[in-house]
Amino acid sequence: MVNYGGYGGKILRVDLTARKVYTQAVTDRMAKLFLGGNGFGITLLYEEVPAQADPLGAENLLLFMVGPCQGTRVPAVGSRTAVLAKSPLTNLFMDSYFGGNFGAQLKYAGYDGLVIAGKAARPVYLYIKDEAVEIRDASDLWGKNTYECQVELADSLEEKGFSTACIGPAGEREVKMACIISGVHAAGRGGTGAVMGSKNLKAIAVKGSRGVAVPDIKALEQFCDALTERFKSNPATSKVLPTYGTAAIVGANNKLGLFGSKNWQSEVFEEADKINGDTLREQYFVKNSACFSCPIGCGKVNYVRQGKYHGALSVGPEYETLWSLGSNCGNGDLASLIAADRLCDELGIDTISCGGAIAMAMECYEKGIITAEDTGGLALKFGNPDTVLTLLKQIGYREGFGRILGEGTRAMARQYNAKEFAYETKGLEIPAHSPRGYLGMAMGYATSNRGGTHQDGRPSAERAGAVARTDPQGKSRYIIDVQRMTTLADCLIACRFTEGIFGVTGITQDMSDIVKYVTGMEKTVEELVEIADRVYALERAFNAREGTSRKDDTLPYRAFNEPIPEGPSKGQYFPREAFEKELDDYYLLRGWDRQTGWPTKETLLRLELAEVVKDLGY
Amino acid sequence: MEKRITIQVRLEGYLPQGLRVSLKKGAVLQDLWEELTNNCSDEVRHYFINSQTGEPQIFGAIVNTEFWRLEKGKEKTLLDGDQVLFLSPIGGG
Repeated sequence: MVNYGGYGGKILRVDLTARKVYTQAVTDRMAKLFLGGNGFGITLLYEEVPAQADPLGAENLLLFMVGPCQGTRVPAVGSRTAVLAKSPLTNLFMDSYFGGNFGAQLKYAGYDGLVIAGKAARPVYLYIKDEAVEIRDASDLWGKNTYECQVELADSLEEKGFSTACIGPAGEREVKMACIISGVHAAGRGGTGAVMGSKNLKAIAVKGSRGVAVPDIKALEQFCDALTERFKSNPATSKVLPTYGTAAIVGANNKLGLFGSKNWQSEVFEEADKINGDTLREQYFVKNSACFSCPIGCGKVNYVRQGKYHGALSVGPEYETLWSLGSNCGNGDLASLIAADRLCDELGIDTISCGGAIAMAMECYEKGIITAEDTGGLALKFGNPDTVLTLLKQIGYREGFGRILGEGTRAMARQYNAKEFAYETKGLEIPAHSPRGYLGMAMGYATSNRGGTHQDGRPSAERAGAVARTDPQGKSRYIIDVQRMTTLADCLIACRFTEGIFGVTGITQDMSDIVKYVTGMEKTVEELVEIADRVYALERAFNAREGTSRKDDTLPYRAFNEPIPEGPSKGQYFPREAFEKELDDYYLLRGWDRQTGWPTKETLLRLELAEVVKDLGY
Repeated sequence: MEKRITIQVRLEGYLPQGLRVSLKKGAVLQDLWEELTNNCSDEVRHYFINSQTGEPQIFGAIVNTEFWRLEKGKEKTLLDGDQVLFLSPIGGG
């Protein structure tokens, strides 16, 4: 059992095949070595999902994890939930995160996580009210989009106040870029929605009635008050994000010449002014939206009041979506992007991966690699918003050319012999932060255990100018420190927007203080670095068992071979030789083998991961 | 009479109307930073300097179309009519 504050003390286990529900104790050892969230999640995934397991088979697990902070008022940390599984898109480790209040309710129900195994014989949903856990029939919900599903589920329950998470038509059809939606929030990346669908699990409803015990509530309150004041002292968290959300950065990124356009053929988008934060605010903004315990409130409700897309209403689109379905598809129609954002939510599909796949297909179409014969007669031209909307529906319903797009850019590259147009690493589509212009972020993409994500490593310090971005020298050390920060943030499940407060380039004393005030554990920054390294090494070992090696820590063809062709960042790219040198340094600094990219035996033993040594053949 | 230049300043995601700042001819980006943090309103200063720690929290700017890190701000001479956009410390969601 666990004797530290913040923890529920047990993990809820559900075996859908056997229709069994039980709990697993959280131990002091787990808390000390892995902290929570992603840390707990990878230990369970590593121990229980066998190598080469089918991600869409009953052997895979689907985990909803929280950490010690969820349910507390630690600002921008108390609400969030980690989702983990072996990804059907990458066939590797995957974690993805969402806000809202699901994580807080799961904690209030007494759990540090929910682990779902097996496969239900027919569609079901999980009902969780404290100790009362039931596997209930979901045949009436199956086929509903995510918003309909959540409303109908909430209405059908005996009482109000449940938090819900569910899949849409895409998850039901096991589309590899299907996501999980909770309220209006998405665990977007890596196809965890398909894993949920493969288990015939349509939805989860959770509500708890407990509090969260901490060592000294007054001390935590004072600490949270002081932290909140710091959020108010930072321009990003006090003004920019509360006013514009992440859309704020569209304009400047385009001015930097680092706003991917038409499948990254350019990094300047001529219609950027039509889809930037100012335009969104002036023409479509309705009101703000915030997660539980968050002083920022970055969510923006937008509504299309007239025209072709009249009636479209969405919390978003975020910056990533304005890029992925906007500039990257040559689409400067902002109203259509609000409609597309809502459509992706309803279908339960990842806007980043969808946009990456559609943009790649458009480039291939324009180059004659994909033809109208492949697309069922649809002309995949850049700049046509209706084509984007049509393709999103096809992806979500796994119809027409959407069957191919939904398999992801890597699969499409194989099918059409078009690797040079695929913008992905490890099979996960790269988001909206240029690997040619932010070389530190590029190292993050290459070495991320999930693939093309801006959450293992961050673009923020380079973009802001706190760190030089075009000089490859030293980017290995830089990105390791950033990845340590992001990994620890994922154990605590801190929103990335805390980075300007808690530290953007590494783990800081703030994180140590959070751990102390919530759990009572006294952890130095160095000890937290060790936890982060342990978690990241175990994720890496999970991938190693699947057969990854140094060759997988790489970047898209375009990032190495095609300098940015125009605009303020013209000529920038990541020379291959410089990249390989930094990768050598990266492995050396992490204590990983240069040939395999795996943690060495000595590193595993130092990180108290002795059980992994044999698995990696040492 | 001392010759002066006028700079159009925008702060990303902040004060959408922007502001005009007058500087001595020959001023560099660093001078603009000092003007904004020492002689402008508290609202402007709040954008650049953490009110609790007194430390800078803005590190880069785009001068017309050219990106500059503020640590190299002495190397960039400003001209009359230049447009300077200071970048917020945000990296996408």
